[in-house]
Amino acid sequence: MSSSADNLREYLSLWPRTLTDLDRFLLALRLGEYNNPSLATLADLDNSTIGAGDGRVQNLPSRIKTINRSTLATKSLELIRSIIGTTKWNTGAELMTILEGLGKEFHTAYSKDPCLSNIVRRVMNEIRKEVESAYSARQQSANSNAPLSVNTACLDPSADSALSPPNVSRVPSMTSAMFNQGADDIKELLYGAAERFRSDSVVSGDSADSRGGDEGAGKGNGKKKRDPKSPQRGQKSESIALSSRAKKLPPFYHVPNGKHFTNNIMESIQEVLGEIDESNKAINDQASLHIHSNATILTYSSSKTILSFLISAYHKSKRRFKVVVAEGAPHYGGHVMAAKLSQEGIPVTVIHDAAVSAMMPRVDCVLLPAHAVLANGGVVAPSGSHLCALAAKANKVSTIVVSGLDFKLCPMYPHEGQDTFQDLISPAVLLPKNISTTIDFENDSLVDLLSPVHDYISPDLVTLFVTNIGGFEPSYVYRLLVELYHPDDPVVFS
Amino acid sequence: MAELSAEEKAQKKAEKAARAAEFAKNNPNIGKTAKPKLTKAERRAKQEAQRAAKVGEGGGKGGGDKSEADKDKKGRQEGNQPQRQQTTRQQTTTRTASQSNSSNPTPSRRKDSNASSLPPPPPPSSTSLNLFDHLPPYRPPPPLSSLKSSLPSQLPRPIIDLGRKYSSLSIDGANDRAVAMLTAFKSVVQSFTCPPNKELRFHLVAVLKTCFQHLTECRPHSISMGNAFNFLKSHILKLNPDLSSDDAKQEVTEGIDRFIQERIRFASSVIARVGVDKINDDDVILTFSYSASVLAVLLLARENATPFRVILVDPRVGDGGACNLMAKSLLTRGVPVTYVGMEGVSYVMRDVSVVMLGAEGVMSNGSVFARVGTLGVAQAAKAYRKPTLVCCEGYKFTNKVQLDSITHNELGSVEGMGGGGEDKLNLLYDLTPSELVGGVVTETGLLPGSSVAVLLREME
Repeated sequence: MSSSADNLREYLSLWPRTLTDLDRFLLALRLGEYNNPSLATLADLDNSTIGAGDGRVQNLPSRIKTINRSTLATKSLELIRSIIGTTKWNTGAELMTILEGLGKEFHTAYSKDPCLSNIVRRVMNEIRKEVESAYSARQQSANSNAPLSVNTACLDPSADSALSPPNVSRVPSMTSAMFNQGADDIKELLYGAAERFRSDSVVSGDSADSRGGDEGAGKGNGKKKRDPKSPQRGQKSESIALSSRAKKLPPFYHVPNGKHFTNNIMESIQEVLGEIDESNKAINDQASLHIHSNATILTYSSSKTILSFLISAYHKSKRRFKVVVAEGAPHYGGHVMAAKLSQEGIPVTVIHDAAVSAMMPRVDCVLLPAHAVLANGGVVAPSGSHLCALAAKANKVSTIVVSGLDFKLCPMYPHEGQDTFQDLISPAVLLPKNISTTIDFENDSLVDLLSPVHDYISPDLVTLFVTNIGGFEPSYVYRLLVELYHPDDPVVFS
Repeated sequence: MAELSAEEKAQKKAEKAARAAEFAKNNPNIGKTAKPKLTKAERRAKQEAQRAAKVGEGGGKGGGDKSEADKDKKGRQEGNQPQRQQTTRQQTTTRTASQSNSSNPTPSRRKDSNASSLPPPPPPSSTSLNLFDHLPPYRPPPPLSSLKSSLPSQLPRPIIDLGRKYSSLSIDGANDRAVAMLTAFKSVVQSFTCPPNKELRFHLVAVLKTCFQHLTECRPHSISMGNAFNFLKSHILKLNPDLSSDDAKQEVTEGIDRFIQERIRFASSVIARVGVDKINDDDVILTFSYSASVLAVLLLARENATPFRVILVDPRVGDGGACNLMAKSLLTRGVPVTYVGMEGVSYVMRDVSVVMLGAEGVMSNGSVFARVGTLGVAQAAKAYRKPTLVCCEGYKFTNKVQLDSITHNELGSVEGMGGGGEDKLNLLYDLTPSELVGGVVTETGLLPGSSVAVLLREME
């Protein structure tokens, strides 16, 4: 549905300032201000999370100009927040449409980084939660006001459709609904599922009106009843045309929400922001669990998260260890990483990428950064880290992926193998620097240069994830996915 | 520091004396022959004692074979009074030097054994890992001016030139290094004049040994060089002692030529014929850096008009363009090449049909000692279940065995590995265990790694 992005633009034109903000952000994405994630990872190390930084990391040999990904995530979240704050949406469905549109805009501008889609999905999930909790709150107040008891309501089929929590179509809500309401409401669950099914098949038309009427009846004297269809059809200028996906949302998404609801959503966005902020700290707290004294730790290329993890282990947990850093071609982030570590007083040795396998028998644990964590527990990491993981596996060395999952966890599967999120950059980095090139790399039609940026690491090569929400095995990732994202939300915004 | 330099001076003086003694012994017509009536065995024992003493100064830092020799021959030093005094003096100076400089607990072997021929090594480059203190640190090739003044005068010119080429890595690759060494030795043999009252065989071997030692000091010798030198030694010692000097020299040079021709060049062409069978139409061959034997296989396949393409993996270790040379050799013959860095191996491995790797040497347990990164490529190949072939001439098989890449290796220049104060480590080789190698392509055919020991035995 390409029209939802257009819908969004048309809708946002009512608030030209917000639209300008969005365009500015998209332009920065297109211009590549956030490109080259591997280069950007070390950009602005937040010393506050480390505690011992005190500005020692200032004068670095830095060839990094881009903004790092957590800043990108924060910026996109702030943009979403301001759009939600300024626009005059009425219902949950409208809000979902806005976010879907945003997701598409982001995806069109910069599809290489899954981080933006994840953020949008995350906010969509928060909105779903808020809509549902607002709905159940209304339900409760309706129940307490209504004279009929729960049991009779269950038996009454007309009341059923209104009373049943329509959020039963997916597993987590089903379970939560079961826990919340007790086993005697099993009938409600079933009827709810049936109702949900009906609402799926009936996309628009007067049945929606009737459902709205049903809800109104169910709510009783709870809130002011308002027909959800009339604003979006009638006053086109004031509200956004719903996307096909949003139209399929359960009826209570089409009910206007109060100011309190907006505040709740803002709060939950703020929570996500805070989570991104605190991510490194939460990871660093686990350092003492994984690093013993006199350990030799191998890490690949550069990662802001791993850097602060190691520094925290060194200064806070007082572990004395040695670090072996692989250069991490083609960006050679390892050089920067090693310089920063050695400034902190941590003994570092830089080795070539090719020597990783040779060193592995003397390494105690491998720390790898992640570009994205996939639904099967696999990891997209800087190119070459697959070799690290393979070597570690061959030598029975544990491979620990240290990464925040706030925006890196993706709900997709690596169907494309090594091509998952792959990015091939200019092979200029491959050309020899000092040797006068005897080969005409540019014009020789026989030669082909490849410079991939990422590697896909399958879950069997990962021993552990150390994340902001704790340490776990790759097999646990699917569970986190259902917590963070709603399965009905689009996996790819395209 | 002043004390240290004084110590060094004293040590150098001692070195010089030792060298002078040896020189006098080797060239009796120049020096005064104090003991002309020594028997062959005595002479040999003394020579070895001297060498052992020299190695002994390094505090047991020498290679395993040398320290063994040291142990074996220490007893023979009896009755060699002046030499012994020198030795003890040197040992004490070494000890005090290492005491005064406690940050350098293991003085470089090269510094002791050949302090006069090369400039003093840079400060200890041992990294915080302390894993590679047993390996001699990398030293850049010395400037020519300092070399001229400091080299021992009896070293032949071609050897000095070759040593410089080795240390600057302008000759790299196992075959090239072995061929260059043998060629240089041939010219040494040709210009060799046996002093009267000497047996040519033993004297020639002694001279070549000094040459070989110098080359090893310039850069630790490769397995190929070691094996080639061992061949040369036994070839000379097997000469008929009744031959005239010219005939003997003729025999030796012919032997060298034959070795180069049969064991290296012909072996390479046979390997090409064996290996080319494994390249089918439209295959994708992945290879790693430069290897003469792999190149021979690929070029033969090209000659046979087999359509195939090559994925060439650049180890990105600043190896002086070895990989570039490989790419150029393939491209000029019209072989399509996909050039990818070490980090891209996993990305390209999916498309590969066969992985063909070169080797520095193959150990008797079938593990392959090769350019650093070979192990990584082999591991990636295994992960993608691709067949891996190692092309290696039989003369590079060795009786030595090691289990990982740490115990024996070589350190290279750390130039271009970041600019900070951090330690840098450039390993030049790694060891690929035999379970990662599908087969070894040699002149005797395609063998499993477990057959290497058998082949070694057969060849002896």
